[in-house]
Amino acid sequence: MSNENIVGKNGQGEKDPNELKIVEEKGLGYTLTVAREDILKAAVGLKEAGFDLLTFVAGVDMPDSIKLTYRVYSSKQKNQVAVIIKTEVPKSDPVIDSLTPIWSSANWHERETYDLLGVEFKGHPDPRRMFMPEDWVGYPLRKDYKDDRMVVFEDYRTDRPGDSE
Amino acid sequence: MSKIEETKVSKANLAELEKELAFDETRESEPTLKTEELVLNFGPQHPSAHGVLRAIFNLDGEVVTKIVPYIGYLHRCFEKIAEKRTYSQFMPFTDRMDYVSSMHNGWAYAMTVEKLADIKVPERAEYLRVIFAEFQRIASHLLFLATTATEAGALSPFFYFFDERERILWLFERLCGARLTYNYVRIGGVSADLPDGWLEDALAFINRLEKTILEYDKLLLGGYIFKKRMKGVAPFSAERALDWGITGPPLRSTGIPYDIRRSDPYSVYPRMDFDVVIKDNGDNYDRVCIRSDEIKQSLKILKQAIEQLPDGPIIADGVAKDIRPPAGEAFAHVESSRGDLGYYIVSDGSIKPYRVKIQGPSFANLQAFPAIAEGAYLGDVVLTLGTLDPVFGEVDR
Repeated sequence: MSNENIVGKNGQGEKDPNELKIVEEKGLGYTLTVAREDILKAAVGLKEAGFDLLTFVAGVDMPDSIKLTYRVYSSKQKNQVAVIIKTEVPKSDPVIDSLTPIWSSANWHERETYDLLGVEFKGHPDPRRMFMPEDWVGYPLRKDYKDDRMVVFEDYRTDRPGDSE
Repeated sequence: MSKIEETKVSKANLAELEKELAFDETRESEPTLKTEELVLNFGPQHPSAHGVLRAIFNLDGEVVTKIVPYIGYLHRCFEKIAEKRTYSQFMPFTDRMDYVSSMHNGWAYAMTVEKLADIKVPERAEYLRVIFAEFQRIASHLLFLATTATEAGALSPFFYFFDERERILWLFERLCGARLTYNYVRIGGVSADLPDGWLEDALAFINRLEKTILEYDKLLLGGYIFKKRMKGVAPFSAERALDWGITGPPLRSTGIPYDIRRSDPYSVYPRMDFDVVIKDNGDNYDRVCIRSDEIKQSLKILKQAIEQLPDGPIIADGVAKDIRPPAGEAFAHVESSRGDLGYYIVSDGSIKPYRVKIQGPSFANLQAFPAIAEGAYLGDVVLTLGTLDPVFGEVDR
């Protein structure tokens, strides 16, 4: 396989060896981990390298931060590679630059992440909730989300602290 | 008597009258008629909304100038539910995501968990998965063709396509007892082996559909009225489609050969000989035709898969009931009937997933709907929504 080739050609490895490096991660494929300040720079770089299709934005609620994962794909590459961009925002200040100006498809995905996890996207053209009503309080996909109307499925087979609460 | 006299017009008068009634562009465009913008609420309970889409249409005469979609009416927060279930307990939920192509959803989820837990699936199970995924794709595309025809006003094709789809559902029912939400794919394999005589019936159906689909092509796609209605309506270019994140048949109809079965091969697809169908115009007509052509390719795959089907176990040995994958992350995707369907799972090493993110192609495709349909006639907007083929179980999750 000419995998090295793809990474060398597309990746930022050659241009910015200190900051942005695409590595291959088990289970995910090529990943690019950036600080949240660099997300826009990384996105512009990838877009210029031909990554023209953004397929999802996912947020993961970690104990003190929210991890964000973006998957971008290049239609121009013959080898057809995808890169997963990873970044993190602290829970105390969950703000990050919006990627909607770069990939229009980020629009709804970012709205969804805001709706369910409470990450604010700076520069988003339409920062409304996606699924929940406009007046909803709280972010349902956060681990500490509590709601009286929520029926929690009790499972005796739990080995994770906090699950049986 | 006098009345007749009055209505009698001389030749000179007639010429004058004709002149008066003749189409005059400058006069027509004069804003003599006061019109105002009409705001129309569409859905969420509308037969052609393909589920529970609510949209606000701004209308200028019959032209839709602005569309604001509202989704979330079917939001069940499956991603939250997944965090409270074990890996195998979440399996039936995946069928309720895209309920028109449940097989693909179960497969994508199982593939991700298998990647996470390093489970090797037996070859026979892989072949069975391919067979059912392709049958599912045909069933889903047949449903698409049926509903699109109905939306365009052609009622008879509906019955033909549903008749064929029904035969696939019978095959599914014989196999796993369910017609829509199968729960057939299991982590590490599939739940049941083929009943006696199933393969013969499946082959008989494939041979039948190979012939009939050509007739249906003539009946629906070759029809003058249908072509007139669909050709050149709501086209988009490949660049715009990629920018909006459209995948699946709508993207391929613009000429981009993005099909996960080929671009990121999984299972036994590399052994299959088939073409990725692409079209050039990206209009409503191409988006319908591409589905019919994909049915033909799926039939081709099915024949090969049935021929190559090996003997052996159908589920991996030693897969625990409560799978405990090592901490880590995995992403796997399949080509569902609607596009690039992926699951992203984060494991913390316990028996339940820490986070499950579902990348639904309907969600991404629907996002482009306002941009595609704005500027079209109201009657075509519903058709355009139909050709994107969103399933709201997957949009809202």
